[in-house]
Amino acid sequence: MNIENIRNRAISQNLQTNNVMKIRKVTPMKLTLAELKEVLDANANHPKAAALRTFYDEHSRFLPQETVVAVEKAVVLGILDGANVVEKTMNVTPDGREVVQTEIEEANHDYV
Amino acid sequence: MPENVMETPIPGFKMKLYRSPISGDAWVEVGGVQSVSVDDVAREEIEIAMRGSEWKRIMPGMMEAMSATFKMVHNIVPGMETLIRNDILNGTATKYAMVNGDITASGTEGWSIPVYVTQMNRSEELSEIVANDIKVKLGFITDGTSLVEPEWLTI
Repeated sequence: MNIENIRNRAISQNLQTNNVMKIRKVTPMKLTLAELKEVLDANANHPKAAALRTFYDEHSRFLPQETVVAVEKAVVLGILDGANVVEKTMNVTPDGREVVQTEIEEANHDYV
Repeated sequence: MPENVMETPIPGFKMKLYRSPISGDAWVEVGGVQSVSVDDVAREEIEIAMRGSEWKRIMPGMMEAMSATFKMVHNIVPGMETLIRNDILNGTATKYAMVNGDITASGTEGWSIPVYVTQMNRSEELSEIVANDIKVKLGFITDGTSLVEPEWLTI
């Protein structure tokens, strides 16, 4: 119990003192603008869909529908499955920097 | 045998430049790009000199506002050129990723910085391809709740 407490204090101190740079683990997938529109249309009310819809509308004005976009897999799956998409700090590197990764929470429709 | 584990060096033409809106990641490769330079990744030096030592010393100060400059050939991807021109005209915040390969390929990594476009100059030399000289610089940009910081992306 005490060891865990010390470990947590060490990690939080590292995060506070080494927060200049965040490492973010991303896993994007490629899809065309046309395919992105299909994803957005499939679940327009998903919270993550609003920003992507704005992106789609703006870029569709100037770029062809075949233009390739790299979007986080978790976001695409989250919208399609109606699941929550959350960013989690997965772990801390030895020099104290946090690594953040986007994940899908258990599929449910209680968007947070 | 070398003592260090060695990886293959990467020539500049294999690097990639991507642009995304601030909110969420939706990366589109910036086409028609020639050279890219990531600049001002630097920390201010605060000098300390005092009696008792002949050495001047420094302490680490603040990080500079990092930036990137790139040359984009005019009219190869006119749509992207228009988007970037709108960014500078409207003062729109975007994110740029300067990574060492395809942004969906495992192992790719590089900087992602939230920026404003601060320069979009165009040279029209008689015997050269017309190109835009574009500069993007770390901006005071929030995602609605907190400042967006530069990040190191790993795929």
